[in-house]
Amino acid sequence: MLRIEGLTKRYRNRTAVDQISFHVPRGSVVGFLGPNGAGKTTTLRMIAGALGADAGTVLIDGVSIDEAPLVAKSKIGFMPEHVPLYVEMRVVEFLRFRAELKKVTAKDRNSAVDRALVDAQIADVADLRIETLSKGYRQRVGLADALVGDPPLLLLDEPTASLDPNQIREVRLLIRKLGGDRTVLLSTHVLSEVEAVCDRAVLISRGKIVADGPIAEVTARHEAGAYRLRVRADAGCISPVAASIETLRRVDIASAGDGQCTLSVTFRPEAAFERELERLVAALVQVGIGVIEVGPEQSRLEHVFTELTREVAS
Amino acid sequence: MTGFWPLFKRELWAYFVTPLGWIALTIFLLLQGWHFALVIDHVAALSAQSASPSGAQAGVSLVSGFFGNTVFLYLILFLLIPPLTMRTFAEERRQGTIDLLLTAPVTNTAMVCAKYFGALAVYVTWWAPTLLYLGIATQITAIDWGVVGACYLGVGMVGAAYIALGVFASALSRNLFSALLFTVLIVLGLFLFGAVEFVTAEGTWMHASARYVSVWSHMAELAVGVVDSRRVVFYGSITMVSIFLTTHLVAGWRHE
Repeated sequence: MLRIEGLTKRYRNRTAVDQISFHVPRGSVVGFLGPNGAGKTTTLRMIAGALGADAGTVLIDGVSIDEAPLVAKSKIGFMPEHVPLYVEMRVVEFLRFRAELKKVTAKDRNSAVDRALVDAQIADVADLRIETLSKGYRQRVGLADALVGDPPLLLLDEPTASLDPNQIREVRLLIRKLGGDRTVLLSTHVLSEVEAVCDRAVLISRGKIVADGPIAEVTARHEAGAYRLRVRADAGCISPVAASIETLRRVDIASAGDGQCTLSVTFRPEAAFERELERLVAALVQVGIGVIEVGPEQSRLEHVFTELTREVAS
Repeated sequence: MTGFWPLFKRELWAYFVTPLGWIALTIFLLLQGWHFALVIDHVAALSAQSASPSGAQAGVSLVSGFFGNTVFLYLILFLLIPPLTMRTFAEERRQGTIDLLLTAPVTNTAMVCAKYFGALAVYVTWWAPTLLYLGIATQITAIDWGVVGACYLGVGMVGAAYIALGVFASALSRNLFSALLFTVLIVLGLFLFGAVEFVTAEGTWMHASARYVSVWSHMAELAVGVVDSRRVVFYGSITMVSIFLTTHLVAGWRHE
């Protein structure tokens, strides 16, 4: 449904998006993850046609956004992060205007607007002026705007920002439901959101794609070589030991109280993980540190996210 | 022109849903009403002085006084066109709503034309009630409707060109004040350059150039029923070039 090849955007001497390529299959819900400033919004704006790329192509259902922008844009429902709205309009007026702009026929316009109002759960404020609505409601008006006209591709940039926990749950359910017959690219830095509603994740950091695939696959790939140890020692005693194991790529030490510490360690990919883990445990025991518990890191997307974005930053 | 009609309707709606649109209309009609009363007084005074004024002469004086050789017309253009056009693009960019348009299946030409014709339609609604004034004047004097037609053509051409310049200035700006200021400077600059015809010797290129752009002279001609095709070309060119440049500016925003 959405195919991106070598997409690049430069601002003066800074490359905001650097030759990224990925594919979003029809009917899937894909999480587009990355820290602030990673290039998520720039990428989404390029896909939506608000921003031109310096290089690369964006194909929406096989149609290039540069070569046939009107056809490509008619297939997209875009909800930007800071939802822009004509606040002097009533919600229903705004959605009717947007439906007409998206070429929804006069015959179907009212039903399309009604459906969007119900899906975004804003039917109760349909006749109110947008300027009188809370931030959460405005956010959902933006979601209704993206939904109106039933575009096959939805680009949602932080759709649950400013919503209360109940609304967040409902919007997540809606996105999950939409995934059946529409394709959704969900940009967010809320990792639990991606885990809750997405089939796949694309991670971007400093303008580059650092991971792309089904969530289970992405996490499994990066869980390899990651272990968690509980030891009886002060944090200060552990660092020299960890430093002596040259195959360690990352060590996080956290005090667990009662003279205990928790170590989260990751070995270099080329290392023989289990043998290196044995070496680490032996080295700790050798200096008198009691090892209470050893096991694989219960890593989830958050861990992968931290790992990958830190790797690119370094 | 895909997307023109819904955008045009929204533009018109936006002008009249805010108090600013109604305030502008009120100011315009108050000024024009006052102006018309002054012109009537002036024509009446002339008629009283003249031994045997014909009704037709009085009618021509009234129309030419209302549309030509009067500072009121230009005052209105300076006062009301910049606020009318300043928000067209500058406001959309300031509030970020331009993204709603850039990501919709709308061509750049349709976007610019909808903004332009929206402002022009408002300008026409300002002038439309002034036809009533002339209707009232027919009760006291004969009116040459051919001359009236020429005057409205002039008012329309000047307004169309200034609005196109205002929309262009708005597209160049990111805030309302600079859009307003830029439009005032362009309109005032054109007016002042035209006024150079009164301080230069006839026959010089400077005089000829100033006369070519002088809105004062153009309206004075039209106010006596002279329609010169050069004026149509002049204002038509300003309008077309401004719309063309604005369309290019809008296309360029995708690459900022």
